[in-house]
Amino acid sequence: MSESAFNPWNWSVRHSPILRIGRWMAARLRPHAEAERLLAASGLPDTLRERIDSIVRRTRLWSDERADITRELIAHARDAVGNDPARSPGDIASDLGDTRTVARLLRRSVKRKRPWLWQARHRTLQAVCAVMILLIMSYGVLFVRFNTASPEISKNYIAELNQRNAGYNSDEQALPAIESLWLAYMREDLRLAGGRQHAPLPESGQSQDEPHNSAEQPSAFESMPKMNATDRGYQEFVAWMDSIRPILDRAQEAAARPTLGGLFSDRSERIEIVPQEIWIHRPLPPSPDPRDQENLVGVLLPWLGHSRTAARVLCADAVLAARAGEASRAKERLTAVLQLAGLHGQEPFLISNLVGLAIEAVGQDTLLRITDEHPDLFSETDLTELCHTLASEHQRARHLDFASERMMIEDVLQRGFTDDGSGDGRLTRQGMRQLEQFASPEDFGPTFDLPLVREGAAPYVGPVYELTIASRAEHRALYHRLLSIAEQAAQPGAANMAGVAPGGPFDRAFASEVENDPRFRLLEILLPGVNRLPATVHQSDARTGAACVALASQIHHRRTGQWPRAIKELVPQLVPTAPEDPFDPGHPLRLAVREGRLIIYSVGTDGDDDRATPPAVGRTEDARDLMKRFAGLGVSPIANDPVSDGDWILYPPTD
Amino acid sequence: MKLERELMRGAGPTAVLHLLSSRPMYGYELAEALAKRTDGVLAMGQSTLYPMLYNLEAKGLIEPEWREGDSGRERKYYRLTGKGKTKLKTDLEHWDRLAGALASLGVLKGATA
Repeated sequence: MSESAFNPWNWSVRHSPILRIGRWMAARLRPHAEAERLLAASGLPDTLRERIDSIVRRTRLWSDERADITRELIAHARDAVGNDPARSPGDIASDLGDTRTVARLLRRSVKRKRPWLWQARHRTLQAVCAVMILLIMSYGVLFVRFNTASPEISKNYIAELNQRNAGYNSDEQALPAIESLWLAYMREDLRLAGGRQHAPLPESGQSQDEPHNSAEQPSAFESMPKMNATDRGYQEFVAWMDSIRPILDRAQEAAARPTLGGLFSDRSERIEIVPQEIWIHRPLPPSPDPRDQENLVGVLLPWLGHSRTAARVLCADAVLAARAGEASRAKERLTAVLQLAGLHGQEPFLISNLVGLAIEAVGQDTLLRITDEHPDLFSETDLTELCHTLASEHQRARHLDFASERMMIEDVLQRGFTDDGSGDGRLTRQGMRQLEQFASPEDFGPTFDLPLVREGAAPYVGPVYELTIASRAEHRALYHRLLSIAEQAAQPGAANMAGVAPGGPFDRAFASEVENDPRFRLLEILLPGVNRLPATVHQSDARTGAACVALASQIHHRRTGQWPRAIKELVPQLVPTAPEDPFDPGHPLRLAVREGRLIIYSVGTDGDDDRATPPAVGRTEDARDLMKRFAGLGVSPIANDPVSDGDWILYPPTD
Repeated sequence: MKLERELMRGAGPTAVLHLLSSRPMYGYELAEALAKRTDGVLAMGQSTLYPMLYNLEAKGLIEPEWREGDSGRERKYYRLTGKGKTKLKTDLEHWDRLAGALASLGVLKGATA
């Protein structure tokens, strides 16, 4: 090879990376340029040249591919012209066929020759695009489906609840008098707080019931109904109680009425009794159209706090009456408290029922303290009547209204899901808003991690979110099934507790079907705590039973000079049946006499009789303890727990 | 008479491979040979021939080469690859069996059942 044939400098320039990149970019920018150049230099008649140009241009192939096809078609055309001069360029051009068809065939076949890496990338891109298109189309369908769906709110549950009170006139409703007593308490609290530094005022919706905090020693007002004669301001407190006696009398009379009489509504007005200091949230009549109402979860029960306060004041007056030797007044006040508890047991909403049990516990505790401190205050007749009141009002107070809870989920579902006419349906935008509301309540309660539920995002996130949420029928079925277990567990008889014990049917179903299944987020928010309610009821059964036994034992003691050694000595003359020990199903509560005093006790969480010895630390009767006990009936699941190693002392009352 | 499209799709590639088994040929030459040697039965326009050649090339059955022919013109010659020879052999066997089967049914003229 001579030097003139190969010039390294020229070769280097021609093959330099910069020029190669330049050529690549030029080919990218003008992919048809080389084909045009070849055609221009081909010398073919215009007809043929234009036809080939048109075909190659339509292939939209890479620059070098177009050039290759162009060269081949030019060669073919030259041969055709050269070998058959009689044929016109038009005839030869017609051999090329339909421009669009031949371009498409050429394009397909040439692309098959491209490198496998390009083929792989091309196929992948095609697949990705196909998937994307499919997803976008699916989302579009879901978007339209979700955003055009709406719930069918047909049942007015608030009206149904209010119908219960429709038959009662105002003289048969207890709440006005209870509210008056609460108001008297609040005014006195405000007066006493006048010389103290006020705590920050509670936000709207928060309870105002508790007195303002004070770093000083608790006053008689603050410690009621357990106040001692030596408490600060005791005489002033007694004088105040005397001053509100008419109000107490009216509250006492009201507690015997057939209904509390509260208006159930999702709307209320704030009425300032004392500006910036005392106010009442008074329910306003709900809209007659259920579509204009909030769900039942949003129904306000502002009187629950009033009732608890009124019960405490009534109990305090019973204690003062006992100290004054006024058995009749003490009995009437205590009876009123127990009746108030019974009234709350008849209310819809579990929260009302729980407040009733709390009021009952305060009343029972006060009664036992009075009989303990003043054993001769009540006559046998008084004691017998109080025992009957305890039993009869407990039958009302121990009621847990699961029916209203079922109503609540039905209302939530009708407001959040579509209705296909057969009880099923799917999530709607309104349902998303409900989830948002439940997951992040404004004023209270825990927040739940629902990352996709955000304000304003419902129309866009909802179509996908809907796919991850169980249907209306599934929600209903699971909710009712779990509620039935809790309902059964609350039935009389401690052995029924097994249904809600740790590891029991409720626990297993909740863990596997609610907590571990994100489709039931709604129930995860609405259900927690339901399984603990039955334990509260069984504990109140035990407290009531113990209170009745304590009163009956006093009668027995008066008659015989002895405390009974076992409850069976009181049955059936003084108590109809021996109350069951919830921690020892099938067996009665136990009695013991120590230093001349009667002790009524349960064996407690550990299930064994510690001879009326309370645990060294803590308590052994929490609802959770009761549930733990039932985790293994017949065994002692937490025998080595120092907190549970002891008995639950039900009488005498302890602080 | 031209073959129907489906028949052409089966016979065309075998015919092209067969022509290329004797010597490398370029597009126009192949088109002429197919038209003349089959009395036009397997005649193909450029819109059929070139996509077919590119497909055979993509499958590795033939390979192209630009070179000058006897006339001095530069043309793209196609020749059979080893893979193409194997494929042709298989195709011919299939066609033989097909022809035999059709003949045994009396479908082909002059054949006996």
